[in-house]
Amino acid sequence: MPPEEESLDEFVQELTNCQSDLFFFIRALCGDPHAAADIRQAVNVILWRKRAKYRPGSSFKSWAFRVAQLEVKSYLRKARREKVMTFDEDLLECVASELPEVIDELPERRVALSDCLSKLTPKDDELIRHHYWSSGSLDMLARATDRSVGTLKARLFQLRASLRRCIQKKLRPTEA
Amino acid sequence: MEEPRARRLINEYLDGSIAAGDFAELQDALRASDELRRDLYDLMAVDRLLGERYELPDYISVQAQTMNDTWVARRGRTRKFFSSIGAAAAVLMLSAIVFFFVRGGPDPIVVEASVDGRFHVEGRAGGPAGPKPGEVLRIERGVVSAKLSPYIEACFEGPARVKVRDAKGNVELLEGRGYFEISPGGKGFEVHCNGSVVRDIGTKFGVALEPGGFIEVHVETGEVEITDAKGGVHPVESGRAVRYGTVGPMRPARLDMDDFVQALPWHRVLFHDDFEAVDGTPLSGRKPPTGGKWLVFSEGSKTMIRDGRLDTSYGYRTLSASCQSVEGQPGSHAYLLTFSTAVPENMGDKPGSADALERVTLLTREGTRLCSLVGRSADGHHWRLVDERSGVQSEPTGASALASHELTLLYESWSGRVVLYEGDSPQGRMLASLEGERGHRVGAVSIANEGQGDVAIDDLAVKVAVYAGKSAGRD
Repeated sequence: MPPEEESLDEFVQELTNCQSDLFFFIRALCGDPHAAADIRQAVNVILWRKRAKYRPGSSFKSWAFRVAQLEVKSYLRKARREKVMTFDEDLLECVASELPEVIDELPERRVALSDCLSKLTPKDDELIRHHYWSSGSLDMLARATDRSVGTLKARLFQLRASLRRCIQKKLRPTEA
Repeated sequence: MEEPRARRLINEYLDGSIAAGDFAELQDALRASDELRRDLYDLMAVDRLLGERYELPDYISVQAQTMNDTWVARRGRTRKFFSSIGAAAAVLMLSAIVFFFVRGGPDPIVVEASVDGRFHVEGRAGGPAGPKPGEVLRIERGVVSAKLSPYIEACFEGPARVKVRDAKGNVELLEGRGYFEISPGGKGFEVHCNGSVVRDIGTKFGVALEPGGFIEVHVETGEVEITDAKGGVHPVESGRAVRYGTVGPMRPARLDMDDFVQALPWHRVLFHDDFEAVDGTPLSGRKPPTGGKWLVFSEGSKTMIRDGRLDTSYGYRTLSASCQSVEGQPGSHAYLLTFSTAVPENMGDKPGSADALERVTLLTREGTRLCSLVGRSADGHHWRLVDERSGVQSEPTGASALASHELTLLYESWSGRVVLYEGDSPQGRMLASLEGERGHRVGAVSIANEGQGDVAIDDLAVKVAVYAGKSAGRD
């Protein structure tokens, strides 16, 4: 394969492999999952335009995160003007510098979560599935199960905390 | 900021329901506390990974507009469009390139095990990533389903060994039995077995390799073609079964698809208590998230939840709670009791104690003891397995009732086998096993301590896997 094609091949592989981490990074900084999806698209376009600058062997993820951070800042400036709640610049910098460590661990967390979910009761499993399937609306499930939205929300918060603990136990059993 | 409030605000932030005043307060707290930021990252990761798992892809969610107008409308209102038509075209082009470059190779084999399953790939403890070509999948117990290719689904029941021959998903059955379901794109799929080749011509079929080297092929639908070790070709149609060895003729056999497990057994959580409650909450009468209320039969002092655990420190106790019933579910049951232990609060009285005992027991539906994990001071509080019907005991294990462990106790109703594993599933290291009495159904779980014995338990759960078929000796 000619070197240019090899390099393009590696670029596309790297870009594809980092999509999930990139989304997590952007989502964590901007707070809005829907905006995060759009920002990621914009970041992908920028990375593609600048692909000639990518040097195989260098850290693609760090480069992508730097581009993403700038795009998020630009989004947040606009959002602030529209009075949308966003992190302040200093906190954003701090979160952006600490997140990559968490993101590097996502594959292990993904496997651990899978195990942890198998421990859920059918009721809790249904709540989680419904919440994420319906992008957050709990009204329908509340009506169907004769529980209040507040009760379901409180249980959802508990479940997130309990899944977090379970993941931690699996990743760092000695600290648990 | 108080920790529970901070966590609530983080959750509200993740859900997008946080109020402006609360958000400002949360930001201040996040700036000030490394630990709170760690909480934020961890909960964000949980939220994101759950999203990855369960959220509908956008192209499906558009179809779902009529199903739930409110959230689609909300999503539409908040969506910010960054990209111009030109950018959209670039993204489309990029997606096409990514598709051609990255999706060119075959799909990896993905496997899933029953809750009581234990399997390895080339000695690596099993996970969702299945074997690659040339690797052997070994199922020690339970059932493993494998998507060998987009067109080939297989189900293997332990004990079994299967080697993936190539990237198309063709396999060699080295031990045990497998059931194969092939959709039209997978025509020509091959199962190699003891010198013969079973080739699919669009069908569902089962292949069993018996310990003596005999092979049985049962065809449920469609047709297969068997090439025997000498090169002879034998078509076998739907509704037929054959039996053959490396020498001698191929003979008809009685078709019995019940001999092959065709899907993972269904499972249910019968009891679960994570002991999440305010410190000092009494255990008596507590209703766990799943299962019956806790009953206290005896206690030297009030039994209460402390630090999110059930700690028996400071007095003897006998505690029990019933499991949900699976009445009317015929078939064979594999029960799994999982729990974690921590160091009990009261360790001061342990040195020199002569008659201390800790016991975690599965009870039958009739309320009699079935099998237990027992720790005694004479064994250094190390758990032993005990078959309560016969009194047979295992040797003490390396796991102490007074230390942090995660344990899984398995009871097979069809064989009476009782096994203790390290970890929260049978995938962990086996610590002990014994042959107990078969044929019982689990109805309750009990925890007891005597003398200076103590145990601090968290996340106690009882699950059942129900097998409908009769294979692997589960008649």
